[in-house]
Amino acid sequence: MDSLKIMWGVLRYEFRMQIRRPALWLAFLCFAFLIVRSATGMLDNPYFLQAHLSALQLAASLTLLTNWLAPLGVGILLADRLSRDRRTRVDELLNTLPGTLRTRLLGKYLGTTLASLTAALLLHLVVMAFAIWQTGNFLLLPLGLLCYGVIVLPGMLFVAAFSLACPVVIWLPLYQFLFFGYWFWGNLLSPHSGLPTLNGTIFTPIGSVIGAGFFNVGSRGGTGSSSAVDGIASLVALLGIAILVLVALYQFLRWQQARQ
Amino acid sequence: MTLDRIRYELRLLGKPVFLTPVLVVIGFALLLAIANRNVTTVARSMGASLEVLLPMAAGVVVATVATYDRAIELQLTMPRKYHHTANARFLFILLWSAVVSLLTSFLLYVTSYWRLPVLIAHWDQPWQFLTWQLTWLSSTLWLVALGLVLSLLIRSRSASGALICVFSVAELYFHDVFMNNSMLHPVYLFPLTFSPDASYWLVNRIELLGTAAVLFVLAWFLLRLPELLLSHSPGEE
Repeated sequence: MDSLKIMWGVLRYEFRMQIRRPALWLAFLCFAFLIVRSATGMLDNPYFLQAHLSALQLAASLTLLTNWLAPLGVGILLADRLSRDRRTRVDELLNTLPGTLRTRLLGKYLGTTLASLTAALLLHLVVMAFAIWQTGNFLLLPLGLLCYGVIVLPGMLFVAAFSLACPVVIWLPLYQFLFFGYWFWGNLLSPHSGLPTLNGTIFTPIGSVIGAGFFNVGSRGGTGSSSAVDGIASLVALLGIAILVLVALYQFLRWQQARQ
Repeated sequence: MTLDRIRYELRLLGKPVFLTPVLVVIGFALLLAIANRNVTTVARSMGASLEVLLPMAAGVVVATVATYDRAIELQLTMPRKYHHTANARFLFILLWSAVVSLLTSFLLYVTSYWRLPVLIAHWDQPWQFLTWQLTWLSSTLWLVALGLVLSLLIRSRSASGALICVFSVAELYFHDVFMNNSMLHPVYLFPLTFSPDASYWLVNRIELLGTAAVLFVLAWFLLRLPELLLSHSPGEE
């Protein structure tokens, strides 16, 4: 019970700290301009209109469109959380307080991720509102939220786990740069570009495989080619890897503590 | 005295700053060597590594380290102005990135993995080689200047890095919009990767240098405002 209370306290504090960062809102404001521009292009595209997508497929397509950029912001803005604790020496102070490292780590992960996801969800709602205004279909709002939970959340939890863990061993700017490179290479680069890419495999956090598997939509408004089994495999793989990364991070920090 | 100071600044920047561009080029070249030996693909990808990856890395590193100092309050009380220190740091990063880019482009030229913009394809040497260097030089100067201005304005290393990454991903993703809209040419960073046959290649490179110069002037002005240097967004790294 005590550890639950402590975790709730950490979660609340981390959530408030992250959500009050002007940088988070500034970054997502820039994303909003780019994504609304993409949504306009997609909804005005005659080929897209000819595809006769159902409301659910339209919501899924728009969700995938929102997700090409938002995880990049979530990942980069989460990457400095543990290194900041180290730099300000707060981690040493926290080690002297009651509550285990596991509780604090989980609280930090959930708090910072939920705060970043709040900004990402608002961005998604802006795009949905824009689509409702363009199409007049109010059903897009609940369907959009459903698609957000299925397509976006697993990838976001995956990205958040890596962004919290990797900067513990990699220099922060190098991680930011590598994460940018990975995002483009593993999620946006076409599998037909001549370079091997993770795009199109179940390890695609942008959600294209889940979108194609469950809703039969591709990442650029077309139809996808993955089956429902691929979609489930992708969902399970992304969540499973996120848990594994958090366990590895916990073990590493415990080992580091023991060495001090 | 000057040598001591240079040595001290280099030590302060640390190994990661100097290893980053080298690791980027070597890592990318190894990936290509393992994955694809098609000359056209390798030439295109290595050209992209010089035009996209190294300038991006330099921009993110400058945004992160060039204008941050734990002892900035102490530095501002010293006779030596802080903007001299900040300028020296970003010049080291820029010069090192330029050295790595120049050596890589020379290796690409020697090994014939050389992707040329159509506009300069029939130029004589050494003018062709020298003009080709604008491929990385313009993008690097532009992204470094942007990183400098963002880090000074936002005072958040993470947000500055994120915005540079977002801007670059947007240019990569919407490259056709940048290609087809002449209004956007002065900020179109990656024409060799996506449109080597563009007739505006050279004009674009020079326009980028011009817009980078405007950003540098803005950074020069911002670096002289102690209030701005001392401000720090709460909760930021």
